[in-house]
Amino acid sequence: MNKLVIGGAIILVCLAIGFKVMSSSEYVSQMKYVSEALAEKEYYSKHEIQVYGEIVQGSFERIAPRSYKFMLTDGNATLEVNYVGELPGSFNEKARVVVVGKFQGNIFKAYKLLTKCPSKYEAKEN
Amino acid sequence: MLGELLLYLSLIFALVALIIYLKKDYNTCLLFIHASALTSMLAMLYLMYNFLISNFKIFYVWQYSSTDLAWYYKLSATWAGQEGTFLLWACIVLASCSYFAKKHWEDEGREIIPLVLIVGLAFLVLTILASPFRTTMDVFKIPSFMVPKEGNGLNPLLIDPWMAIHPPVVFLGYALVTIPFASAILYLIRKNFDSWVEISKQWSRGAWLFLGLGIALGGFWSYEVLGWGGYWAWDPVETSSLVPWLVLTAYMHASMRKQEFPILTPALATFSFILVLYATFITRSGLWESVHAFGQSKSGTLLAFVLFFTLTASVILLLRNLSNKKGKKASLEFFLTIMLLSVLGFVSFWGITYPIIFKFKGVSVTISKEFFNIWSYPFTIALFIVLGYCLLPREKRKFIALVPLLALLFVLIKPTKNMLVNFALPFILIPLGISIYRLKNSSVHLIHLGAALILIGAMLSSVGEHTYNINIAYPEELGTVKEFGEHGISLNKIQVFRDIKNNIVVQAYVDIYKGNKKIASGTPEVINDRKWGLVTHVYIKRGILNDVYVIFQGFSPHQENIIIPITVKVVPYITFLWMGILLLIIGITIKMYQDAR
Repeated sequence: MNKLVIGGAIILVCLAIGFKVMSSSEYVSQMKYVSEALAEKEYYSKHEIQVYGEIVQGSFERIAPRSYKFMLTDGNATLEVNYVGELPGSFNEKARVVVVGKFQGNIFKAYKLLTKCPSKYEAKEN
Repeated sequence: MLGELLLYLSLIFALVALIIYLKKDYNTCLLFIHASALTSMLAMLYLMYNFLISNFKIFYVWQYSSTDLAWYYKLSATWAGQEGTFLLWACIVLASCSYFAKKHWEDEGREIIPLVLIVGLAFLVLTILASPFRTTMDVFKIPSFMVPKEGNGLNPLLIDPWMAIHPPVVFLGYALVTIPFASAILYLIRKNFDSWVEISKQWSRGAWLFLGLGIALGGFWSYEVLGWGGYWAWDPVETSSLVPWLVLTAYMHASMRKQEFPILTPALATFSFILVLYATFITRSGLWESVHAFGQSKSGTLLAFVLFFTLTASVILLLRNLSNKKGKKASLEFFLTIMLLSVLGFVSFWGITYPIIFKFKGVSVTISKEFFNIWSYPFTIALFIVLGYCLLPREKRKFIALVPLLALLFVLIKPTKNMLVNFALPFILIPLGISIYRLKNSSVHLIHLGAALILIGAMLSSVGEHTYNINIAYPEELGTVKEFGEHGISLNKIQVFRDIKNNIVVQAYVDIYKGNKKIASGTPEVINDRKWGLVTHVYIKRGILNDVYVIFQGFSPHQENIIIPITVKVVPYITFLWMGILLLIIGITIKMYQDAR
């Protein structure tokens, strides 16, 4: 019985530390749709956020070496994104993407661009 | 359909074997086990054959293959989706079952067969539920003459030699965990089954070897692919496979002292298996964002159920045995090693599990790499203190107290720019040195040396990595050497052409210099694939001390002054990491070979 108590206590302590660590939230970053992110533009000009959406067809362009501009939409709202960095190893303008960064005025300054998954390796059944 | 028929036959044979086993007609049972393993393998071979002949009447083949692929990529597309991987998994479990049964038919090892069979059955059911043999006609609801002449094709990132080996090796590791798991469960059910560790020893080593190798191959591959975050990105799927590996490592240590840890040892074996199931659940459920995501699947619910059932049963069995299995006085070093490895496993587990809690609240979150790095750090250092202590001869063990002092010294003299790395270095370097010194005694030291080298390589490469953005004016600066750090690069020409699929390929011919000497030339390229978008192939000049990683992603030709951006990363000491992995593999292989004789 003694061992059970010790084991249980260890697990509880681990979980407590786990929750405490995460709730300080410096390690947790939220992912939002374009319209949700735009609604809290002020807050996310100071905090990092991941925005999820689709690139508006034909809006993707190179504006300088390693610098790209495109419109990101979730159907309800559209956002201008300025991304500086490398493109992912396989990058489809028609794919859904996640951009990580902060707002600067009305423009979203992204420093990370990820292709959003499920569509990535799997063909749709339609 | 032949494929489905084979799957059902395999299922029926396994069921019959199970029933006959309970009736104690062992010889007939063995026959049915072999039959079940054989039919599942035939199903796998049949699926591979369909990939080879590009039979797009099978939806799974259509989904992942196309006629333009080389035959070996067609074959490796067999495990590109989850239907194929479940079949592969079921195959390996049933094959191990049949091999194990033949070997242990006369001894008490035989009694774990029903459990292994049940696991095999579960994977067969999972395979049948999301069958790789569904026809394109059924899925698209079209008559057979309308079946497309061309397949959907494999994602270009998966058209890679690593695709042929990384997934099957991981699944081999996953499947082999079944044997130590089944042995542990039987040991918990029965009063006396003391040979359980010995019976499953080579199997757990095999599982450890292949799971570790699989993770390493994934890392090696990921290092070459832009956007996968280097060899290790704490991606949920890769992390989820690391967790059972860490727990399995803890198990390997505990199993050497099974008398001292009569409950902990089987607990670690069962949890390795449960965590393998959890890793599969993570990959298939579609709840996580990952480079591996297969998309949401129907088997998720069943998998969750299997996971929950195994977990509950194991915990109940473990609790029931708490009072009646008493251990000898435990060695503190081993206890600490096991605990620290488990805590490291927990840190990774927590990082991938926490987002689910948010998912239920309808919020998507990701956990940053820093969480994993920062929280793994102290426990890794503690683990290596214990390792250093254990490796020292008894009378010299007190000298381990000097290591923290050495660490403080390192912080002061700053060999690297990162304080945390400086502090950690002596903790890793000391056991590294001692294991080299003791190499002649046992191949186990080779494994510990490998582990230390992996950490040294990981720390030094991540701290020392440097990215240079190089802009080359076109055509004025063609052939001019542009310097970065100790190296230089020159762009000699840009070549544009169409490949056999009529996609535009843009190649940059570059030379790499060190000092004034040309050390390598290569062609990083970018392909404008009409179906998959821009596909980048980097060029890596590997070296013992430095890797030079060259990225070229095209340029805009319409401007007045054309600038060609080339990004170069210098990654130092990454070779140590690969060498460490190699030593780990050689070490465990020697160990297995010695015991097999």
